[in-house]
Amino acid sequence: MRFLFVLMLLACGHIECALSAIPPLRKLTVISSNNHLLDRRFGMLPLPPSITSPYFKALRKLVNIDSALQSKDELSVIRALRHWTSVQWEHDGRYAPPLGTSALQILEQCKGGARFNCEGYARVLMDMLLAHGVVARVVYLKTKDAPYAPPGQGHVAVSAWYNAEQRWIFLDPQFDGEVALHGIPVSWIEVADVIKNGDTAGVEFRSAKATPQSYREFLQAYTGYVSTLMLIGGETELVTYRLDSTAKQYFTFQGLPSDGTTFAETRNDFNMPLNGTSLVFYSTNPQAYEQVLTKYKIVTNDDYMHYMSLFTAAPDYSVRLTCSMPWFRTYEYSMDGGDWKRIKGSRVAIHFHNGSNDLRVRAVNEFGWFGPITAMVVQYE
Amino acid sequence: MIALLTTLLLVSSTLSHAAKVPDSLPLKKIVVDSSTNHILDTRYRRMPLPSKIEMPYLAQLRERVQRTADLSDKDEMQTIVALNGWVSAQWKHDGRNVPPLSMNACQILDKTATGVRYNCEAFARVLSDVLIAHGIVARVIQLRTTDQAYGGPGQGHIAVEAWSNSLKKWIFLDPQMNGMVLRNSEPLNISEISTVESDGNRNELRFQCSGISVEKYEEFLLQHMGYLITLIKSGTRDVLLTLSLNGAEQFLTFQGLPASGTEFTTKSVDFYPPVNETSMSFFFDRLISFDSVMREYDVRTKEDYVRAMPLFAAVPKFKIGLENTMPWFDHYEVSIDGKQWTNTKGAELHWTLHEGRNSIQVRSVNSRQMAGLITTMHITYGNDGSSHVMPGASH
Repeated sequence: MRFLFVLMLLACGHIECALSAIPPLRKLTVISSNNHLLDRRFGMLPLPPSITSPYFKALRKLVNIDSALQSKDELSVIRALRHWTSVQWEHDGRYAPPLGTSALQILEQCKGGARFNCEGYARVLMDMLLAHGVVARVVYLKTKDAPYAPPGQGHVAVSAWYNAEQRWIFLDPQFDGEVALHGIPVSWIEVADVIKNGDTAGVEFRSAKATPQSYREFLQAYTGYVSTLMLIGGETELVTYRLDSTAKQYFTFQGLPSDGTTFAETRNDFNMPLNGTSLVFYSTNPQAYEQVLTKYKIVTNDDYMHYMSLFTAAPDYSVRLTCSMPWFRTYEYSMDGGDWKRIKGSRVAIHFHNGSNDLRVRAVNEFGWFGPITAMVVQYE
Repeated sequence: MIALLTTLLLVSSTLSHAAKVPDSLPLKKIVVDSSTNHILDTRYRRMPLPSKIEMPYLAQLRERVQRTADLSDKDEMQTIVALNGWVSAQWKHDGRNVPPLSMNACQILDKTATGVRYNCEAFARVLSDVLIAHGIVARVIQLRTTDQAYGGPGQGHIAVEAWSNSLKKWIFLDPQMNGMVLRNSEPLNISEISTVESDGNRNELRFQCSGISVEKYEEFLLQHMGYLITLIKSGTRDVLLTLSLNGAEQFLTFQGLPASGTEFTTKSVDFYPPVNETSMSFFFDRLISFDSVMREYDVRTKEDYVRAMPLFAAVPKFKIGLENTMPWFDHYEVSIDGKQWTNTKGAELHWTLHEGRNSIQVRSVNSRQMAGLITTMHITYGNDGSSHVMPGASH
């Protein structure tokens, strides 16, 4: 790739060139694009490598959310799973499911009459979402006084990636709840902003088990910290983001050791984007600068500009695709609003026709959910 | 550690049993007064740096520079400035002559010693390797005008950016013209220069250069503030990461020719990943589970819990795991309570807080014995004077 740097050569001097019949220059111009370098930090999420395992199949068999699945609307599926989880047992704040107890085992025990706390709901919903191809993780919300205050300083919920809005959203399976800003569910970091700022316009605290007012009152205590498990240096560690700028880093939770806690400095360290697709274009007719100079006997800048239409980039590219999608299955692309076409592998040949070209690409996961669309409008004329 | 997550259990405060603990024990708290410790940004791993700097080629380059450049007693910034000056003085610029890609910095210097002259790219390639040979993280960058897609030749300039541990950021170096750009005496990188200029504060920029007037250099450099480009690794190959400056749009061509293998970003941090940082993860020597506390101290209510807290509160005896983002890492160093730096001899250390104010500083050191950024935490351990009894609790 370093060959590109040699294109910097500043030509000077004068020679005669004898080429004639120079056609007009046809330019490739990127009119708009959201094609960007992908954020690779999604690799820090401690996700299962695949969602096709017998465990996830067994989880899928337990739920009946056919109407939501048939709608093919991601948010409907997420909400249906949240609701399903919320009604599997009556909340009992005294009992956290033992460590090592899977969602399947928690649900089995509940059938036998066991009841669990918010963490039980969160662990079940997380695995249910994963089983249905939705990237999700458990989040631990904490009060600002959590380091040395008595029990009750935390609430456990779920954060899921919502492709359509390209954001993480807060899901509370204990309360069958979420918080929306201007109609769109948002992440706990954004909810904490809303609570701290005292905003009310456009804010909805939604719960099937509590009134908006009581749900807001319950949640507003937990705006000190939010934690989640992440992979750091190959180890799973509890990463914490301070929701309140006056909240200090800590070593304890309710007086007890809070082992292995590491703090994130920025929101994106905690809520990194994922499921994106990036395109890198490679010309199918590459031309070396030196060869161009020799072939067209170019010495001056004026020569170069004069003959540019003879050697300028042709509108044919081999496009290499990469994505930040867990459980990736395939890429799809669409030209000029046409049907989505599946791409075999991670390369696609693109020919830009005269005029405006609308190129869209997306990644699709094992469950069939597609990630945010990368769109480019390229003019060729 | 996951076990502790279950301590989020909400305990009912309606039960009436009293815990069998004394009423007034002092609670010793561990309080983080200040900290620069945070999870590390691993984006630096995409930089195509050599895996080690103790190799014959870089040793030869280092020896070659130090034959004529006196770097003794120079700090990091003085070394960077001296090396920029040294490279810029090795030959006179000739924009027509680009060194073949197969030539390394030593071979370019061999040629220039015989009178051959090269362009800006040669200066940049030599300075980047010279800096790396001295343990300084550096890379070649390319600046392009906003007209680069279909402008004629001359739409770009090649230079270097280097990571400064003392400034905790990347800085711009132009070895063709021994150039740097400063604001309030602080060297800037290209993104900073572009921002200052686009904010209308161009008069605050101080351009330094040799062999060209300051005015011409300023005009030349600011002409090239359309795009900033460098190589990064992308899977098994390299791509040109491009940061759009001045709101410039994406492109598919450069000077009319295909601009293959380009990726774009609008985020400065993608282009300027921090390096040479160290982070600490703390693990307690002794863990106590929430459930065992409830049983051992017969805790039934929140008031019981608060009264018993001095008996079970975390004791600050730690094992600390260390991580770094330092290319050519060699070892970690630690300083406790402002004492001398010592080699940790591994990625783990043990630390017990004393009562009162404690401090810990850690840093990474590379194989050229250059120390990276210091991570500092100030922690107080002891009774902070506040009541250990829950406000409003009844005894």
